[in-house]
Amino acid sequence: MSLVLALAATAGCKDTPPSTPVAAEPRPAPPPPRAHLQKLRGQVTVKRANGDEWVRATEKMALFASDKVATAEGARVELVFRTGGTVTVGENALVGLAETGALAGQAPTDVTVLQGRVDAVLQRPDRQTLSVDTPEATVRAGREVVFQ
Amino acid sequence: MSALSLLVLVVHLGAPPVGAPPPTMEVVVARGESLAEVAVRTLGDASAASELRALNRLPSGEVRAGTRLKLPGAARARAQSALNAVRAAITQRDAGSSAEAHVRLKGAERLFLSARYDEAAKAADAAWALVSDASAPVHFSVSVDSDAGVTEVASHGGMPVRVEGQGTTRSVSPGQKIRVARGRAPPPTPPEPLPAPHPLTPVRAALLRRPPAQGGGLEPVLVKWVAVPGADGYAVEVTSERGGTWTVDAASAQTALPPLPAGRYRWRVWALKGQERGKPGPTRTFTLEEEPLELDVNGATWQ
Repeated sequence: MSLVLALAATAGCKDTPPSTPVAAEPRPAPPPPRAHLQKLRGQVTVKRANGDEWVRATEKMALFASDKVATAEGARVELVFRTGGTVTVGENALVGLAETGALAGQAPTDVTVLQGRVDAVLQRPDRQTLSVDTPEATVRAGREVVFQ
Repeated sequence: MSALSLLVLVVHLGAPPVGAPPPTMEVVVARGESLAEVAVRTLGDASAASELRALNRLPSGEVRAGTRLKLPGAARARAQSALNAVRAAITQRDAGSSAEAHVRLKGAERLFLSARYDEAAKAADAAWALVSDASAPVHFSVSVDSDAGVTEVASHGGMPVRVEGQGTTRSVSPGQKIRVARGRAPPPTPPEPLPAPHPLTPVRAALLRRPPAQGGGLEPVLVKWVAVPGADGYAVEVTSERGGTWTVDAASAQTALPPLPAGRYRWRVWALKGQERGKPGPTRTFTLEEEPLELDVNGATWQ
């Protein structure tokens, strides 16, 4: 696959347009949000994966892979994941949504906590999983973790 | 072919395929070393010798010095983790509801000892599903102190969560807390306290009548309680309201008290496991009276 891409890349030079017209590939649909915010209280800010600025979070704001959420003193917010888990981020916390691609052989995580406290709830652990990563450990909840 | 595409091809061919098993580790048998000793040296457990034998398809348990033995990979740790999970879940359940799970666990353990780790993990999970309350919501908290380099994980409800780090996985049950330092493996969770045995008989505030016993006191009272999974013994404490306390050790979930004089008593039971003593069960009372003598007057010869 990589070879094919590489060949295509070398063939497609700016100065030498292809002799045969190439049909424009349909733009891939944007990935669905990984989670959304709810029950905001206090100062909660979000930094997009492709952005440099922290913006004020809003109710029902969608979150995507590699987005970050920060809470100020006295603030809190809930992250509701599409997979079913809910993570309440406490004050003075910094969390990030996990990147989309986990390394080969490693199970993916949902959220990374870099600072502060989160409280996680998984309503249907027989069907759902929730994983929280930190610099020191990975915490996994839900049935599948037993035999993944 | 351009230089770029050639480079990509080389890199592509040099990279391990996605999802490929990790490189197999091997060990060389030292002079005079038995398979059990190799198992202890490499896997920390002499009973893992059967795994090494199965994994390396050895015709017998004897190995010659210099033999290269293949060691199990990550699948063994996963299977071991699954087995530990079901063992913990069975311990938390009473014997009646976990009988089938126990049978399945034994099957999973046999697969494990045969080095069939993936099958063992699945079998263990099937057993685990029988005894785990997977329908209850899981609630846990994670606190990160980035300055101290410490993560604290606490389980508050539902099935246990699993804490992974440095290749080690720990199970944290509701009520338990674990602190993981940066660069360190999660420490073992403290053992769960033995649950309190529930008293069965004598029932609450029972009135018991016993004939006099030879040697003093009244004939013994039999006390029973619900067995505690994992307990290897019990301690029964009986206290008289007139003063005096008796402690009786029991191997099973019932025991006869020593001959007691008539009176009112309180009793309670602890489960024991090695040196550990669990929480005491609720206190029950009973009143012990001397059984009235039955006079057989029918056979009397006097008039």
